[in-house]
Amino acid sequence: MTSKRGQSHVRLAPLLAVLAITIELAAFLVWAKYRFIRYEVSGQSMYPAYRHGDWLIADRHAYRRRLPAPSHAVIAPDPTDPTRTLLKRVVRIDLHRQAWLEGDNAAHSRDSRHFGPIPVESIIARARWRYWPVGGHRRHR
Amino acid sequence: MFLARLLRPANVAHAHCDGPCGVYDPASARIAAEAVLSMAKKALALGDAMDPATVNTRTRFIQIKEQQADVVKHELDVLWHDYFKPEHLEKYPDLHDKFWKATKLASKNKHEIDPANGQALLDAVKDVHDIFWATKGREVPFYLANPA
Repeated sequence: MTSKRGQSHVRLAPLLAVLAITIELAAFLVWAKYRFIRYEVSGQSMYPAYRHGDWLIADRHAYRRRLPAPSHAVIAPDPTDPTRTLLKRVVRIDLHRQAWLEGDNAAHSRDSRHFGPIPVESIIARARWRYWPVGGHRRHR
Repeated sequence: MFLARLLRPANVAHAHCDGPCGVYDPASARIAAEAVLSMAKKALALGDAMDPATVNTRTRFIQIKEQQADVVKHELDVLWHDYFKPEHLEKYPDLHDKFWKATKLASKNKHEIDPANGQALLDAVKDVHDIFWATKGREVPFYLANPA
């Protein structure tokens, strides 16, 4: 009997390992899906850092413990149309926790110069990695 | 294709410059440029007569020429500032020069009354038309409302 139990333990061990890895992977995917969000860039106001059609990953937890800093590319709601989200760069944060956003391609950008600063709390995420087109994988400050 | 569909983001981050209508067409500039040329021709066709009726008609023609030359400048500016992007400039390095010369021609049509200037303006608008539709990968003929 003892030897049979021993054999069944041996057979179960790889299954348990696979199960544990599967659970960890699933937990990681759930966490990643909760924390990160993917966006497709539409328009040229952030050229050349981001071009029309780029796909990027943004971090929703980036500003949980810190304020956005100048030079960060962020995703924020469009104050003139709440159904739209904008991709702009933080130029400055004032004492009233208002973020001034501008496009890198200033001549072709509608941003805080038109609609003024937006509350820091309204920023949805920080743009972190572009994953398409392939080869454009680099971290944006 | 399956992988592309899987990786494609469901969300859009707008990095637009203006309202998102995206409707641009050099035809507006072409129509105004045709009016400038037509008014120059018609004003000259009136000759030197100074009777009140002729002066009135000549004044109207010149006024329309002035207005339409301004319309050409505005329509070209909209294309120049709002439609054309840095990557277009990379492909057409003389883009700025073409727009600058076209708008200068619009001003010349205000200063002078010469159908040759009107034709030059129309030709400059055609240059913009050709580049504009090339950037969209379409072949659109440059037709005239008043080909004569």
